[in-house]
Amino acid sequence: MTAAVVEMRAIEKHFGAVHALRGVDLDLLPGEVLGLVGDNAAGKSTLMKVLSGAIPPDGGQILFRGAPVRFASPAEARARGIEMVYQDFALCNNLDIAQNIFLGRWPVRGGVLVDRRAMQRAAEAMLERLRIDVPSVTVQVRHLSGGRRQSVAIARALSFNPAVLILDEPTANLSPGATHEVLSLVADLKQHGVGVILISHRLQEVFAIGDRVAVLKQGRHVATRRVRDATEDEILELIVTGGRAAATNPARRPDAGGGPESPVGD
Amino acid sequence: MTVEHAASAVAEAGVAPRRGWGGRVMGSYEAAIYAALLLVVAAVSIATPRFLSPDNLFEVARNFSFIAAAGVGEAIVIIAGGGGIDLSVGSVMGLGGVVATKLLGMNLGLLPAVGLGVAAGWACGAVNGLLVTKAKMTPLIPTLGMLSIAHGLALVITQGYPLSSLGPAGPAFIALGAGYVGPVPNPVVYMALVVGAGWAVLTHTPFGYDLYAVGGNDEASHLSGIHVTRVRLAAYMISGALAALTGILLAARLSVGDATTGQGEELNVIAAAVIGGVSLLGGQGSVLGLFAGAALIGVLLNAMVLTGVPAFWQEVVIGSTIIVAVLLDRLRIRLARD
Ligand SMILES: Nc1ncnc2c1ncn2[C@@H]1O[C@H](COP(=O)(O)OP(=O)(O)OP(=O)(O)O)[C@@H](O)[C@H]1O
Ligand SMILES: [Mg+2]
Repeated sequence: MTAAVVEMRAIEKHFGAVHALRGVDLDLLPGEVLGLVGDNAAGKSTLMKVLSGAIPPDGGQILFRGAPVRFASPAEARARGIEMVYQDFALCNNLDIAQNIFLGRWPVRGGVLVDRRAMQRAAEAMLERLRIDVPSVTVQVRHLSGGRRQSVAIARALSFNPAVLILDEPTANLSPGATHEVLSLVADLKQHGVGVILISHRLQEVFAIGDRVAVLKQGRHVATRRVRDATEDEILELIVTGGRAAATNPARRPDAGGGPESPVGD
Repeated sequence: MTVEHAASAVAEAGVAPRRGWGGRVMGSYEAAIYAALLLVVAAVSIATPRFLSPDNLFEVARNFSFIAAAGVGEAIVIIAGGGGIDLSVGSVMGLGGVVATKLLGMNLGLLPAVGLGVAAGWACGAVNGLLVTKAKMTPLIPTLGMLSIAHGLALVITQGYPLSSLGPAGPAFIALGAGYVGPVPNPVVYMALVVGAGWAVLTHTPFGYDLYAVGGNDEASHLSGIHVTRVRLAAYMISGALAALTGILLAARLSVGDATTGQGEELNVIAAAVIGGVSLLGGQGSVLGLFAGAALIGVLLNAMVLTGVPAFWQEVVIGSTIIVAVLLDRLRIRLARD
């Protein structure tokens, strides 16, 4: 079995009185697409913000390629190759596509001046490689459709050459066509060896491009399943009930890895 | 699915460029303000032919040069977003002039006196910036406080009397404000340098790019590793330093350090920025737009003088212009959203 790129162990997070994460475990294998599902307020976004360095955890441990790490900021997670595309895209509407892709990393010429041409060429090359097609990289992102905006956000994340890419509901609010584009973009990443964590409320898309799916409920990790061994109904059941039945059952199912409800990992 | 996909692809491909074109029209707000400037100039020169005489034109330019120069700092603060605005520029202009003239009167050299005057303005900006970024105060409040503090400090230094004994460096100082480069008055040269430098910094340096990014979406900028608070703090420091330098030049032009110099100038400066297309929401606008806004105000003020409009009415006109400009700003934002 391949060693996990990322292992999160017993992650805890409180927001005042809200106990958002209650000892969550999560593994990501290299080059896999891991679906992360759960009801509203289950803690999916919070867990991933902990991994991306945007939120400091109250407790628990993160191992990156087996070594313990601590991320005080997104920059520190980025230095290890962990990138996150946030739920609200986090784009600057007043800037153009190229500027959004190179936000805060403006290519500089002669030590002082931003090399706008170089930035635009690099952005074009980046978008072409990902087969994202836009009219021009000098268009302000406010004028783009939702799908294009999401693609630009993903392109920015990928321009850091991450080992791990976290996508928080990348297809919420997208048309079917745009959803299809974004999902095939994500599926292509596998060929580049990028591990993807995909937060989604749409089980079909997790089943379409995911390898495994992890379920959170009320701040707890209730199960992880191999997609090819599970059904959408079963995952839905886990999301809704927290899988109390399933959680008490595995001991009685010795054929782990074979049965449709078998837990994976651990 | 494939049909839908194709349909949406067509729709997106069709819509995006058209909106892009619309965006470029919105972006050319600067062109519109320059057109408006030309129109006003044409109207004023028809009403009072004296307006177009070279002497009068340089007089107009000299008068609005102080607004434009201080306006560059104001524009930087507003573009940096987060509700950024600097109400203290007028008072800081007065303080800069008073500090420099006081030091000259104490027989300090020209450069140290000017340098320390600028440092005083920079310090005011630093306090504004720290209160906004670290204490998380609404920019209106600390800069309104600073408006009063800087004016008060200037009064403490002058004890209410104009400072007119400027020591051995006095003549050089006065020449700074009254002199010419060829036919061009020094303040106009100073304005050209500040506006040119401001344009270059905002459009070609990483700091300028950071400024627009922070003004557009501070959360996204932070997540991308831009030091949002540092950028905003720098914006207030630049505004303070530039206001003081401008006030020093104004004092040189008037040959006197007076605490009341620059009083109320913040209105003209903010009006110039907003009329020039610097959006109060942040992230939008340019130094060239600001320059046109300052020129427009300068021409309007001059026209009112030439046509004999009483001075008291001038404030009414400037105040109304600000309100109209902000209304236009709101309108542009609504149009840009469609
Ligand atoms: N910054 C915050 N301050 C206070 N409470 C927060 C904050 N962020 C999240 N929470 C709370 O933590 C809990 C988990 O929220 P989280 O956003 O992680 O859920 P989610 O699984 O991503 O939900 P959704 O599907 O709605 O996006 C919720 O109760 C939420 O209200
Ligand atoms: Mg969420």
